[in-house]
Amino acid sequence: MNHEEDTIVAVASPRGSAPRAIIRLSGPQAERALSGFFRFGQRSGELTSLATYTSHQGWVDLEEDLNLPGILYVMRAPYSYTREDVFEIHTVGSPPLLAMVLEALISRGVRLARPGEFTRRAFLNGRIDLSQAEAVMKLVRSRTEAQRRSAISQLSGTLSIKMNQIRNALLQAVAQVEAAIDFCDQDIEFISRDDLGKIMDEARSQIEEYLKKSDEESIFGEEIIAVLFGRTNVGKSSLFNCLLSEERAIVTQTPGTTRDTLEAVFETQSLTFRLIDTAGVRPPQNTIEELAIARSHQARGSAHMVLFVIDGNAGFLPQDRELFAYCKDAPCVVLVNKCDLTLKVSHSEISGLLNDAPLLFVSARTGQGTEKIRNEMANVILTGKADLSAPGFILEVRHKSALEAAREALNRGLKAIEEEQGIELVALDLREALDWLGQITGEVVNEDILDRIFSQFCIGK
Amino acid sequence: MGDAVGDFDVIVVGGGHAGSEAALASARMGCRTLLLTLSLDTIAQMSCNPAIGGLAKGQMVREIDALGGEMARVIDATGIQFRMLNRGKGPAVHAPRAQADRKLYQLTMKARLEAQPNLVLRQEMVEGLIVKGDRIVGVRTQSGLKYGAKAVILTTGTFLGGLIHMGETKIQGGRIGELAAMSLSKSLRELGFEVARLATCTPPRLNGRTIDYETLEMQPGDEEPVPFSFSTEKITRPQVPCYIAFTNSKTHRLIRENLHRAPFYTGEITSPDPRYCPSIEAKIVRFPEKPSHQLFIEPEGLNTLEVYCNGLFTSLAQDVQDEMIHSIKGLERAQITRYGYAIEYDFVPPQQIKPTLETKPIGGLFHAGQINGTSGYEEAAGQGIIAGINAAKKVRGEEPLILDRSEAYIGVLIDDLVTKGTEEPYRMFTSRAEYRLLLRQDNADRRLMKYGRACGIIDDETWKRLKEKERVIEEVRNYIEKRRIGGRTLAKILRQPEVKFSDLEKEDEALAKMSIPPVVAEAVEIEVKYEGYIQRQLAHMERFKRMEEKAIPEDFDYLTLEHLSTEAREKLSKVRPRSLGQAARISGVTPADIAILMVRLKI
Repeated sequence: MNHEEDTIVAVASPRGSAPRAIIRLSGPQAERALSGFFRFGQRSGELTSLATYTSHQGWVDLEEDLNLPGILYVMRAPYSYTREDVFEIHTVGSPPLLAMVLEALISRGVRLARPGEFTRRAFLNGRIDLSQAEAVMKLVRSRTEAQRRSAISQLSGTLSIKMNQIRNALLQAVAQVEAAIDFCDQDIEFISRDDLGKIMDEARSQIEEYLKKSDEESIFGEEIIAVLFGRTNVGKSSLFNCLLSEERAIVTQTPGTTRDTLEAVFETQSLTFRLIDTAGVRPPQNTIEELAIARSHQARGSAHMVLFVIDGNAGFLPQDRELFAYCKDAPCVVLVNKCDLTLKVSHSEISGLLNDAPLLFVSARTGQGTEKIRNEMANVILTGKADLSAPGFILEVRHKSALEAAREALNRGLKAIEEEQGIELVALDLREALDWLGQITGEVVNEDILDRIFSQFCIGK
Repeated sequence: MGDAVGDFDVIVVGGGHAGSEAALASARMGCRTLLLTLSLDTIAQMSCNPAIGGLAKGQMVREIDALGGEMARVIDATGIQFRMLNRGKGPAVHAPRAQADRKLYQLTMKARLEAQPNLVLRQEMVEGLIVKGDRIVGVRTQSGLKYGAKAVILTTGTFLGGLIHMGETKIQGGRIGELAAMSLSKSLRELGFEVARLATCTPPRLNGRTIDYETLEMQPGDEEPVPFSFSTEKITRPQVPCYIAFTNSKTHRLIRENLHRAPFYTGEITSPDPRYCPSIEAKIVRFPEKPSHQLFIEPEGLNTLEVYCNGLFTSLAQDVQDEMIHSIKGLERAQITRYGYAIEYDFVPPQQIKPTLETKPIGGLFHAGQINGTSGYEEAAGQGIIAGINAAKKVRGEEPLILDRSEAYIGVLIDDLVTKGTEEPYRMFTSRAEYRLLLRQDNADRRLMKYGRACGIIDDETWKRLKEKERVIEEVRNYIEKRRIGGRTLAKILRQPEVKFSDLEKEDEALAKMSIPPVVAEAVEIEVKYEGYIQRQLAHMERFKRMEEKAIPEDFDYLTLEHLSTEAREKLSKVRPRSLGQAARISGVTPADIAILMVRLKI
């Protein structure tokens, strides 16, 4: 038996505004965390009395006036996926509410599961074998990389700039403090305690502001990002309009008309898609187009799903093939457009070249196949092919708890300054704040700090 | 070996700070040990500044002492100015430093080596390594002799392919006026090692008679010098001051006008200017806005007037050095006795060694000191003692000693080297240690002496004294947690930032009567004052240890793990981390890679 001491939690259902969602807990403290949190209708809520493989109607006690109806599934060790105590709450699939449930559970002593952790426990406890575990891990790898990409792209521009500003300010402060400790015998002027306090206070209030904002509005979208991608003049913008049923993009016969990425949101099967139309990719004719093409690639890189468009009337050209090679990071649906004209491609001819991506014959002009596209997009998500179960709001919870921890560390540091504690103790809090922030902006390593010190101070031996 | 002139358990090649500690540790552990050096007159020579200790380095000296090393005792016997650095800050970051009488230090260490049973000293230049399969069996010397051994420790310092630069002049040598080991690198390359090059530099020395000390600022040592070693009771040698001088705009102009005569800037030296002890040229170029730079005029010894010009490290030509010195207030008429110079040397990038300091490709071959890309006597000595211990343990068929990042600066040092490698001379800083509040100078004995004891190189008397110190600390801590004055315990009173332990003794007669030794008072004060912070670091350490304990087999095949990223696969195959914790510290290895590894390793 594995000796994991801590209890983990995650949302186990796919991303998006689905009608139902599953929150899964595994580990020895699952029961304690849920006790008094998940309440039952008639009986007083004694979780210990619940037998394995039973389900119970009740509600999640979120706040005074906020109860979330749900069903609790009980799977006791060793009769569960992880062979630990597993509890699942099946409840409404509202992302903001799920985020609140997760936060509440974290405050009750469980922690967010790391990528693939349920599977790892299942494997370690002998529930599944190595090949099964590794198959899941393969998914986990692509998921965490997608998550990393989307984490960056989901931070809206100004906030991501602000986050980096906070990080830089703290890095600066750490460099100053570390230099003061390690190079005390050098003739250089180090930061005063007052100035250090000011930097930390400023960083803290910026984090505060950020957290406040994230309470008021969602910083990280819960939308699924789908990108139309392909070479020029294959009809991406026409398809964009088709899917949105409105004349939005400028559609002309001139290749290279779309220079900016266009975005719009539509819903299908309770899923929210943000559809992004990109400039067609071809050898750039001028700088503006070069920029547009760069943006296209950027959009593709951060997408959860790519709609790869080819011109059925022109055939599957070498350039199509080249561009398709870029689309391996996210699941892909291939749209053969202009099928109202003479088709120069057939299913059998190209399906082998497309890594088994679903292939749809459509026409933006006649509207043929539009519904099929919407259904296929939903299908990719709902069958889990999209591997998108690392939803934005999970990131949000992760980021939020990291920011809260950074704020706590800064609070401690500021208190230490106020109490005139030694600078080496303030350093501990500062480093901790920076470590937490690093979970969002990228890890800060010792070399980064030494780089700062040595670029800033002229230090001899 | 049949044709060998002697068969040894351990051969140490090189008699610097790493070599001396390695040879002593090995011999003290009962191994027949041979130390081969280019010159017995330069055993433990301080090639650069005549000082031991400083931030992080001072802590390391105490760690070496706790393990049973010699550096602390020798500097205590030969130090001529002791200072506890960072006294203005909390005791957790205090660090001892001392100026040494250079000649005396060297002779004292030589005498300790000579007096060591089991240790043979011989002046010989090693030209090649003798290997059977993938195991070292001995060394070949320039004079044509072969020495057999079960383990060999290379501590080559700057002697491996050493090339000295002074302006346009180039001289083969490991130090000015000395030989260089020109053939050994070839032998290492033939064995499959990657060998690369580093550079460092040293400042001019001056005749003190020609310095106008009146115009310089005096920097005295501490009134009550604190020894480095657990075994030293008191520093008795007379103490002398250092002096502080400053460069000025004239000096800087001279340097700028002569950059074409500084091999660091002409491209003659291809390795980068060492960032952690930069040449004065680099300082002027990189910080043009700084109007002057501080120099420390440090005594070379009690029986010489010669001084060391700390801060004026240079590769510039000799005539420029003369002009530079004369442009400085107080040094207008100073005579240079030895010119400063830059030196390039070979090192073996340290991702090729294990945390035991044994090389990966050749069993029984160990590397310590500058050959691993480090800078500094203390860094060298720290590796030296670990290499000596582990070579002896290898010979004795015992488990190696590996200190981790939470128990010693030496652990941080070696982990950084073998996990991340280095591209410039690596110097230790306290900022490199995650557990700085745990790795203090005051508790090195309590952290590490158990290891020295287990190796058999800490004697009964010293061990007994440690146990007694621990007992008294415990007793005093218990007492102050219980004893109350005005409703508060003494411990609570001590937690106030402005209160010192000695204040408690003034308040409480019973405590004063216990006549607590200063080292105990220091330890108690730190541990009580910083208890909250120390607890936090200990909690972190617990988590760290859990990852360190998740072992990865040495022969684990990363190439079959197709789900790892290509970068992770390559780096893991190269570094061969021994634990999951170490694997996670390799740059380019992501948490997803770690998750995949955990599954395959069933941990």
